Amino acid sequence: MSEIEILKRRVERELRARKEAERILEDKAQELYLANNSLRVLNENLELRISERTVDLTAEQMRLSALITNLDSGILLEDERRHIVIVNQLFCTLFHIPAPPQFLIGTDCSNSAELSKSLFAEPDAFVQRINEILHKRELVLNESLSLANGQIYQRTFIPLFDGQRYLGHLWKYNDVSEAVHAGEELRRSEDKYRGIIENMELGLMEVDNQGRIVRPYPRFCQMVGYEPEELEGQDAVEILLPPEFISVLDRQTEDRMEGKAGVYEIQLRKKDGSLIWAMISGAPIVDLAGDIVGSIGIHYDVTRQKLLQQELEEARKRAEAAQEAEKQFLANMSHEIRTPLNAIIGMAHLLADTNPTEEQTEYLGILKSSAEMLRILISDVLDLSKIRAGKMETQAKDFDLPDLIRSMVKSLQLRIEDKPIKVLLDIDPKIKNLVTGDDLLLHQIMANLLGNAEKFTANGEIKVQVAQETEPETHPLWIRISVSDTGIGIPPEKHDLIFQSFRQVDGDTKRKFGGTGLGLAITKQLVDLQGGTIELISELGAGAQFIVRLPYIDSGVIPISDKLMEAKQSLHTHGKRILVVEDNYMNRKYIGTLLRKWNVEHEFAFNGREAVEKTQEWVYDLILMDIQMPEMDGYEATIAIRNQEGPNQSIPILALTASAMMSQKDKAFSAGMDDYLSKPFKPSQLFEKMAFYMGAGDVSNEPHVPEIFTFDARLDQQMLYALYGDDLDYAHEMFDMFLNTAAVEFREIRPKVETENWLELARLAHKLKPSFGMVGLCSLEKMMDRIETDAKTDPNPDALKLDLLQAEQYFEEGCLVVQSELHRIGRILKK
Amino acid sequence: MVFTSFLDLVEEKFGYEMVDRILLSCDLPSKGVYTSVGTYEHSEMVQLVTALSKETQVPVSDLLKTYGNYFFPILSNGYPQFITEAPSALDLLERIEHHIHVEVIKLYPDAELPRFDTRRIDAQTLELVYHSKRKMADFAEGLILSTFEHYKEQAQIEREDITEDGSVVRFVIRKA
Repeated sequence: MSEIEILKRRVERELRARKEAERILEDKAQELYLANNSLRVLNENLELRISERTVDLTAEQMRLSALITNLDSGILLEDERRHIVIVNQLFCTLFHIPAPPQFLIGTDCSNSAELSKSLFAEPDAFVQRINEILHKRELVLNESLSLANGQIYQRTFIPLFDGQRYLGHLWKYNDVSEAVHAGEELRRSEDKYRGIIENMELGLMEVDNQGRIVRPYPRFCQMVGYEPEELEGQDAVEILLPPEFISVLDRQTEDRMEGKAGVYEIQLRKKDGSLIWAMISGAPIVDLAGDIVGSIGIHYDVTRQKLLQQELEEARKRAEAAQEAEKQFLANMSHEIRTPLNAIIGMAHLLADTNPTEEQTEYLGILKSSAEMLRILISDVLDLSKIRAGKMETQAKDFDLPDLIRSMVKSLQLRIEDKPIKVLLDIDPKIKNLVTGDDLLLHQIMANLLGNAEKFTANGEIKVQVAQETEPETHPLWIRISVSDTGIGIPPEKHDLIFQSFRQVDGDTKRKFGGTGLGLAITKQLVDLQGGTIELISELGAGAQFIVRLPYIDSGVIPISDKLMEAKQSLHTHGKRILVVEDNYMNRKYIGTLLRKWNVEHEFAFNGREAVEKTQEWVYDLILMDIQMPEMDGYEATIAIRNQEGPNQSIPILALTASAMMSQKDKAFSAGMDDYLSKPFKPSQLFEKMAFYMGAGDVSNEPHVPEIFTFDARLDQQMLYALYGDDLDYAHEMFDMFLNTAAVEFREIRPKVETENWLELARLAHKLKPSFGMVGLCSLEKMMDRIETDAKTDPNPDALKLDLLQAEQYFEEGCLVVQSELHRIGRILKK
Repeated sequence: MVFTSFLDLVEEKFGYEMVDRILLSCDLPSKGVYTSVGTYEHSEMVQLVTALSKETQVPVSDLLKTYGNYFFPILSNGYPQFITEAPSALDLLERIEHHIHVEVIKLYPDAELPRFDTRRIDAQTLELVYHSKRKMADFAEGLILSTFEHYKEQAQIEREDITEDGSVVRFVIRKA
């Protein structure tokens, strides 16, 4: 039973197990079917996508293939088994393969290197290299290959990987023969020119844009003492350039970057540390693309030239120092010589006043004229040195140019009256106004020209013509002054010579006529200084004519005599005190004697300090101040006086300078001095200055000049001399009579003009005319003549009124002069 | 297959009466109807082994070892490709986790498999760590022993329970 039951249960279990298994398997089958179905759909989608991708890939491959085929390089693409994937025609051409490229696709290339090796210069090396490249599977770029026929190929190998997987590789070949040959040609040509430059002792060096030396050429290396290897790759500035030239080079580098070339000089440090000077011509280096890749410098060693230049510079400085010393010497000499000369001349003048015997007078005359000549010589030398040193300056002041010329010509007349020479003066009446310019320079020019004419003319005439070349009130107002003589003349070929320093026409001239030979040279320089011209017209034996043209400014002011003003002032200037500051005994004696003679009260101070002390105690009207003194010089003393409060603070101070240097005069003015007097000075020069600054005390104190009586320069000296000679009594009588009669009659002219009584006017003018001539008032004499003529022939009231006005002015001035001359003559006669 | 094979083994060793007895003594959700293509609760196996141990007075661990030993030929006959792919017993053991179990999951997506972490200590020595909530390391040991028998190799096996409940067990297998 139990066994049957067990069996029954077993069968039942197995039956149920079978049914369970069937159910499970059915479920599984169903599952499998569904899974299968979805797999099929997936598969279909995949196929579609693959076919789409395939179309894309094919198109891409065609594009790639077309690209490769048309590339300017021979291309061979192999798969991992070295079967050809793509090859182009150029590749076939380069490797001499006759088959069309499309037929080669799929071909095995394992043996291709062996087949084409004969094309190459080194066949075995070619095969070996191919195998090496294939083994390494690394990128190879632009490897050069020489062919047996001389061509040159360039090879590039590109391995292709997909991650780790090797897919094949690409060979790229180019024929670069032409480029290489052209490059070589170019390099040979460049080398040739570099060689030439190198042989010219020019050192070349190329640097890149960072200033590193790329190519040092042999000559350059020699120049700086380095081996080429030592320079290559180095920073050029660091290794070669002294720091002080860095800025110079920086500027050049900037220019290079802008493509500009340039030449410059710098020092370079050699390997042994010594420095050389190099002149460098630098230019940018431009590559084929037009980019600046560096610069090339051509170096020329100029060390020797530089040294020479430095030596020359030193020599020049020494020469300049010597010249300066010479100028200084001359200036000092002026002081040293002028001071004693001043005393000699002064003493000679004083001695002449001490009633000398006839013999002594004669000796004194010689003494004076010799001293005067010496003074002129020194003045000439000094003037020239002043001009050369550029110390001579022009000063602009208003002056009466015709008056200056007239008085100088009259002096000349007096000097040469014993010679058979006629002196003629012609002054253009157009010059009416004062002109503005340098009267001292004109005086010097005229003195030289007149002196020259006098020296070289034995007989005949000396003629001075003054003309105004431009219309009045134009600027500049050109004045032409001509001085002509009938002397020995100058041959034309010597004309240029005579304006040069220390040159005379010939040695014979020097012996015969003396002089420094500086006069005309100085004259020319003085004319040049004022912007004028000087010319010479002369033939040997036919006299000479010097024509000077000078530019002035028309001041628009009618001249009034300075002396007249002084004379007026002198009427109320009595009892003045002068302080003379002078350390030199001789000078003190000279000045003191003069002042005593002129009755001028005075005191002495022996140096600047004493002068300052005295001005604190006493009141003065004028100080005559020497410059160079012990303890305190004239400048310091002046500054001290100007700075101390008191009655003397603004006193006129007159500098007595021994130096002719303009700078000293400037210094005197800036120290606060009012004027200067250059030593040696004549009594009259001192008197004039004193008269100007304090009034002369009295006209009666004017220096007595006993030897020859000279009429005032504003009168016609020649005519007066001719009229009166030494007969001062006669002159006194005539002058007195003029003032008592003619002067009164002159006042009758005006009513005649105002009433237009022409007949009476003509009569009166005719009567007055000779009276004016008798006292040397020639201009009034001429004017009377004109008034007479006009009144008779063509009486124009306006013109005559103007003439009258002018005449009245001349008359007022002239009368004062005549009056003063009358007094002077009277005083002499009293003696 | 595990269940059918187990019942086959019980029948072979103790007769179908024993099979019937343990099936009746257990309260099984499947009512003891097992097929080789089905998948069943593990708790049923635990009940069956426990019942068998009670009936036969043989310890559970011995029963499981014996079962493992018995189970190897069934596996090697059913899936010979796994055996042929592995040249030696250690190789085979190494392949369980990453090759054999992968394939098993494909056939039985619901199967709950133990994890075998292996590590070669040297050429002759393998460390194998058993991880399973089933705690059937004895069954595994039986299988390991029968593997060496199959390859006709000798091996020394050291066993160490890492956790007290037997869910993690370390075997160090040294090939002789």
